[in-house]
Amino acid sequence: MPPKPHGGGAGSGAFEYCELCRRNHDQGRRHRYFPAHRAALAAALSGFRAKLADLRRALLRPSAPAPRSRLWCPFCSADLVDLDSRFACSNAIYHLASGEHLKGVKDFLRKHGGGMDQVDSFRISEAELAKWEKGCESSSTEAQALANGMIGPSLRPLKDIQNESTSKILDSFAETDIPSFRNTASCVVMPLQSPTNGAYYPTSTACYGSSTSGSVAYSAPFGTSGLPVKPCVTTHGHQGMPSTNVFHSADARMKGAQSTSLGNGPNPPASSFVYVQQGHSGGKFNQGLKANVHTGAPPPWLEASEHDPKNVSLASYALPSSLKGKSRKLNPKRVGAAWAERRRAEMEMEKRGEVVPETPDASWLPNFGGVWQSGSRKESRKEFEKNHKLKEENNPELLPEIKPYISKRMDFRVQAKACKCGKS
Amino acid sequence: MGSVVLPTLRRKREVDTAIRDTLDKVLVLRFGRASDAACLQLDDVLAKSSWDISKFATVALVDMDSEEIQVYVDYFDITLVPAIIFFFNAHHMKMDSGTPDHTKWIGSFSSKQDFIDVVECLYLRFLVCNCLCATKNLVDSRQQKNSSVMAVFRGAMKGKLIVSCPLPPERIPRFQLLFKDV
Repeated sequence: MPPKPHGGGAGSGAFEYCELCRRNHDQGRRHRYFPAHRAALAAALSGFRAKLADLRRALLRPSAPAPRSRLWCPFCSADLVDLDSRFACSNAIYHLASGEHLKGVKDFLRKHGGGMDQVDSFRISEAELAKWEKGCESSSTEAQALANGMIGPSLRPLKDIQNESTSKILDSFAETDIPSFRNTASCVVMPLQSPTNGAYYPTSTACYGSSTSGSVAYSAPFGTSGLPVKPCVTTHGHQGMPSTNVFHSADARMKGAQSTSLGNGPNPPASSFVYVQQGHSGGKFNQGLKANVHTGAPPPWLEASEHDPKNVSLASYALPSSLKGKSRKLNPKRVGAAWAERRRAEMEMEKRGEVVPETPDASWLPNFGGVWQSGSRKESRKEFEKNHKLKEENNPELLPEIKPYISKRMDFRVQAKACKCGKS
Repeated sequence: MGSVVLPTLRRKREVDTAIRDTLDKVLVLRFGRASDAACLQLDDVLAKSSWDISKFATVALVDMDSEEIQVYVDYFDITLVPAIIFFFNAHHMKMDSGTPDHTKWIGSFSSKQDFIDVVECLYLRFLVCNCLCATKNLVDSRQQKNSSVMAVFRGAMKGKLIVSCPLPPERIPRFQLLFKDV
């Protein structure tokens, strides 16, 4: 198709790439008014808004599990990955509150034609950030207090499965396979030498066993189905101590039914179940961690890719219908539609306990149309409030009490006399 | 009877909450006192029809003798009882029923059906065709009786803050307003 002739705009003749529409065009600034571009922009923005809503939930509760481990910022074209952070999405939160992001949002909206008034809805304000940081501090002090009272390695975050390849796995004892018919696979773990305070230490691997002890619980259904369990010994160079991890893996070469515990841990085999329980009860500490296969998270390939605008639009279409169901049915131009939407959102948040129920002001009055056809309803309310105030002021009961004048000078004289008498 | 079935609001905060938290439903506030004969008759009509209209309207009685309610009595300028004021999404709804005061319905309804007609007329102002089914039964049952309902419905999509009363003039209670200090 030959390019349409158009007036000499700023970008006339020159092709440029629109990352939202994913096509090259020579329409210049006019391109942003095209329906396809507007639709793509709306899809991208609504998708990002949905993600930001998730993030705001994490903002309110810093110790809650991360709603998403990575976030694609379409404004700055940056992938914000949160693998190592203790608190949910801290990387993304810091980015969204940064000035760089603000600039990116402004540039993006200027370029693609979104309203500049929505800039604030795509970023996190300083006040929110400060509040979140305060929440983080308080939760970390709580975790520290609890960690000091706890013995055992359940405080270390579950290690990300992707990073497990970094630890050196030695299959030197691989031939001693165990069947898990009895499901008594044990895990011997070195106790922590120092409390980790729930923090993530990339070099500390002493409590690695605790994370895999969690996996025993998840692997139990497989174990009972008759798959043998193969113990693997993982040596961690940093600590120089071998600790044993039990992985469930099918191995048909198993002969005897026995439970093997390797390593030099002082804990009895039964303690693995204790650790499993700790792993669950210690979920409070692990909440800020990345979900992986052990925690039953969906595999990454089932999650929508943030880079793909098609997926973004799908995600925005796949919003729960319960949220929009009623408003879709009703006329958007009905009386007080904006009020209803706002109030419903408020009420939902109040129900969830995210917002303290706001009690209306004692002097609150609804808008009321008077008998006159002219003038707005707000005016009639304002007029009433003014008259009401005047009435109150004129009300004799509410006037300040009138007291007879008592001179204070008299008191001073009396005091002075008293002083003189005292001196003499 | 009606005051037993329907909630009676005696505090300003209760009225505020009712107005603010009734979303996408018509809120019918009856201002009056239980000792008044006309109020009793109206309460009876309201109580009988409150279940029928419960999908699109909420009815509440306001005791206008309560001290806290006096603000609202002054604000809504209620001098004759019973008086009914309609709200939708915290917006006051007016009704042009041929009487001097469009801001409220003064007096009782002669029958339950009249009240339902009026409320439905208000409600239909806000709905689009999709919601027709919700009130279809009511409309169907009334089509033989009152052909003007469908005319109201056709004009209802505009979302206006003032509606015209679907009742025939002979069934609308008459009164005269005397303006003071105007």
